[in-house]
Amino acid sequence: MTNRSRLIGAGVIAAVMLFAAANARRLSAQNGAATGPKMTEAQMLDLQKQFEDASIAADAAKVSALMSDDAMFVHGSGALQTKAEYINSLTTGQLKVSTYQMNDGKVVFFDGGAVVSGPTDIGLVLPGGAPPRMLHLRVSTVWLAKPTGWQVVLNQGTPIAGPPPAPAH
Amino acid sequence: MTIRNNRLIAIAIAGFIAAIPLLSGRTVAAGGQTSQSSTTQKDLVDLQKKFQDLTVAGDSAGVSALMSDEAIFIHGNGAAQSKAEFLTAMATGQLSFSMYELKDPKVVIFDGGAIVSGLVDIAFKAPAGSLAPPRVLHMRGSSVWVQRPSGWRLILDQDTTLPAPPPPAAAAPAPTPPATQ
Repeated sequence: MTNRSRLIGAGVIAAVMLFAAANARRLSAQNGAATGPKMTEAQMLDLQKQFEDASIAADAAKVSALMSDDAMFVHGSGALQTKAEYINSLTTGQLKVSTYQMNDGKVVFFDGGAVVSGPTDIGLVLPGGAPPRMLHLRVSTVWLAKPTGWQVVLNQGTPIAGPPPAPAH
Repeated sequence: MTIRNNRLIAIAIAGFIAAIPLLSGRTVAAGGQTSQSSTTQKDLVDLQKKFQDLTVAGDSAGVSALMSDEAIFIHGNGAAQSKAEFLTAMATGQLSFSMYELKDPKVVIFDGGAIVSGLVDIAFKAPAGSLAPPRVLHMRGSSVWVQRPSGWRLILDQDTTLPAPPPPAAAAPAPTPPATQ
């Protein structure tokens, strides 16, 4: 085989690989699949639970690690907090969460992230030892796959009108 | 090495360089919108306004084109609709907006998408023959846009109703309530 044949062969192989890689990426983006670190729905729901549990524990370091610096937290009241404000309210006790549990969460992946959304029970600890105030919200959390790991960039809760559905028997 | 071989190598390198943008996914298919690197906050606020204006106009085709197939629309009462349900509600008149405006928008751009969030005023058209003024809702709305090869698509829209302002008689200063979930 001559040098020229080898070069042409290598060029053809490189071109085929480039074409295949480009097509795979385009198709992946069209299907809305994450092309970052691969995650399953179960893993995303587990990540969501980590964030909820860290919020209940007022674990500032864990919550901070799971939130993007530019994250927005929209409470069920419509109040908007930055990451720093949310963590500060947890650590100062202004916001004390006793229950934070998403039920029947749905995951929608997009290129580089995912939306986790579902009905969520939230219990807020009230001063004076009164029973926690239970809220039933529809919460959506937008997660991004960053080089440092998955982080929340938006968390928004909306109160669900009407009584919560009776538990299934 | 002959001149011909050098030329082949040069062509191969040029081809590889030309393919880099394709591999990085930062190019947009013909007919798509601006690439993310050149998309400004104003572009995204304009895109949001386009979606809102099409919704008010009841333009199902226009709204459909701006929504991802797996989009979730969460209304101020916590009701969630799929794209198909949202479009059906528009087409049947079940959901008929007379106003849909965004104020004080905040835009967070991330790799592959953006969030447009702000104060939203929404009014619904009164039923035919009704003399009642349109019901206006004041909410905080967030829209998550993702960049697809065919253009920007809405993947999540969520609204949270804001508490009604106090009546004028009760406008005396009051302690700021803590932010609540």
